Amino acid sequence: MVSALRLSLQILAVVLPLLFLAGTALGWLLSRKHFPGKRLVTFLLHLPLVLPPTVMGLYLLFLLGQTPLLREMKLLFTLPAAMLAAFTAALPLAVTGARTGFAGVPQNLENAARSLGDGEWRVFFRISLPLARRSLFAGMALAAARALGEFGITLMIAGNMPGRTQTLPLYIYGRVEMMDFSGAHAAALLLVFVASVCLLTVHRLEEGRHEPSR
Amino acid sequence: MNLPADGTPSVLPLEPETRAFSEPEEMASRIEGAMSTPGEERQDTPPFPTLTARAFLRKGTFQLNAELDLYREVTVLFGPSGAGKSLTLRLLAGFEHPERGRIVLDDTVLLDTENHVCVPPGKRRIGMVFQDLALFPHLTVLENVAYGIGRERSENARTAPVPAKPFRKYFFETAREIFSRPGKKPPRHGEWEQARLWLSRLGMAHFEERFPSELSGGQQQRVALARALAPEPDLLLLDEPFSALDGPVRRNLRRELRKLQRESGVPMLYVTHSVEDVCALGDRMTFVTEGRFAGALPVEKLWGTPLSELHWKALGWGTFLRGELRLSSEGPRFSWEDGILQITSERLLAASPCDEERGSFHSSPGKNRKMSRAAAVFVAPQDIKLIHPDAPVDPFLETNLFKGHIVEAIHLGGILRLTVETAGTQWQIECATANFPQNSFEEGAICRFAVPPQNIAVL
Repeated sequence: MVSALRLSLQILAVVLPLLFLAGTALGWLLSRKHFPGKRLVTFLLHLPLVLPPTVMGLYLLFLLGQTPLLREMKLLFTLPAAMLAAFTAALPLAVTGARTGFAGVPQNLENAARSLGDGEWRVFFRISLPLARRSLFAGMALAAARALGEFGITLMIAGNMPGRTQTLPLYIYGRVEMMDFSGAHAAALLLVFVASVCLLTVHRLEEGRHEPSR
Repeated sequence: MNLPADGTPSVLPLEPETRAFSEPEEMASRIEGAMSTPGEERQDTPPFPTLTARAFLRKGTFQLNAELDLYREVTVLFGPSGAGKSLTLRLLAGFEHPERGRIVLDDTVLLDTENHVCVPPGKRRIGMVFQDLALFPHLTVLENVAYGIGRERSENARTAPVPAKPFRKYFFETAREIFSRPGKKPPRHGEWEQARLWLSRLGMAHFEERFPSELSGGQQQRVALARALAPEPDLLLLDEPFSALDGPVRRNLRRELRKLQRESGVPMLYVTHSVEDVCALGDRMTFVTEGRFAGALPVEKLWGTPLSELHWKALGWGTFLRGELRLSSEGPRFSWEDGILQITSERLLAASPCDEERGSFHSSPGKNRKMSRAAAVFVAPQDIKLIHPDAPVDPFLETNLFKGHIVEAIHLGGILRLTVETAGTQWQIECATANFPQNSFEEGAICRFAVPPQNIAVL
């Protein structure tokens, strides 16, 4: 279990910052800009939410295994593949949170900052980002929970190799297959705890949203 | 529009495109005009506008044709809702990009679609007070006011495109700017002191640690004003800032704004659809209806001048009647659907000579029996005389005496604003309450009023 936990944490450590960056950027783009193909991008971004993970996994499997450049990188059934799986599954949640957050920032506040001498970057970091913070973090908490619990896509493209690609959810599956219920329970309890913390965080953030944000 | 006939020059320079900005002489005098101290006596038409804007913008089906000259004073942009007032402000501030146009502030070209010049909003040195105030909710009052102070807005950045910087330098500068929250800025700019100064000027010195949500509407308004004025902009735009405030607070703020303008000399463009704002604040007013600008005129001329119908429509205040003008043996009369008004011949002559569309009088004196033309009249609310319910009618006011019932009565502390209906026509009347017994004008009551012929403007 320790190695599975370590792998899961490794994945989170890499995936969360990436999710934050990608989610924030895409969320801002989708809430502020109009560009051709915006609907398509939105559609594709939301697809992992509704597709069965095995279907996502199947396509990713072919993408990583058949595309010339990606095939050469030999990503399949390695830790980076597990990271990719977690990232893909969690991205929609991160983007949605960020998008809601930015959409909730009145454009007049941004214009006010501009009229006070701010350039676009400054407006973003001093007005938009601080004000979108709550929603952004709520999305990140959900995304983290989803990334930690990723099972289907991971199994399809990273496999279930103890010590190499076996994350906590896969570990539970393995334990149950071996009829080792106490091990499964221990890991499950840990995941329940982490998921609860994430959910409570989201609720806290959501409740505070209508109060004056500081 | 009909310009005053007393020989004053046209208020709006009518040849916008021919006004050259590059001629050195003109430039010099323009700068001189811009440097003149604010306390100076205001001329009817200051020599050169501090801002000229000509722009055309299409937004859906709405077309805005902005034609604006601002001087170092308060210009009121007046018009009904949806006329394009706010859009004009957004255009000047740089939040909207017109299809074509040119905006020049002092000696800086802010926008020139022909030469592809468009200075970003942050570099225009134009302050703005938003209708919803747009105070930053996550910053304290002091941080809000200090927000724009001491920002690097180098001179050349205003006139020319941003000079190319090595990317590394740009990156670090941007990063430093980004992560310096107002609270953590080094004190060398003295922006805290300056922000406190502005707060105390607006009587908000004790509130600097509060957050905007902890303030009343009037206080928030003061903070918004301080925030916009603190960076010492070259032009201040105000988008109906007082529309959400009640009477006394509004009056106080208006007075203070007036004082601030006189002290700082910053030109202001004030958008409103309240006539009170116009009269209390403005030096000059410009009408806008349906995206068209009707030309500017000094506010003190507002009531004396025969204005065009467009102007009155934009004002939307006072009594406007459409009917027929007749010359009869008893003198000129105006009749409309619901009644007849006696008017004086002086007012008739003062009115613009009637044009072809309205039809004209046949001025041959022999057949002055039934001569008429279509006309419209306007009576300003304060020009209608209410008559004391118990007193006999002053013989002076016996012409044009009407009786009607009060539809709406608003007491504005010393001033009474009535809407009175007489057989289908609504009159707007304003008078001082001091002369009348209390509660004599309640809604539903009957009242009498006279419309003195000399107060009727014939259009």
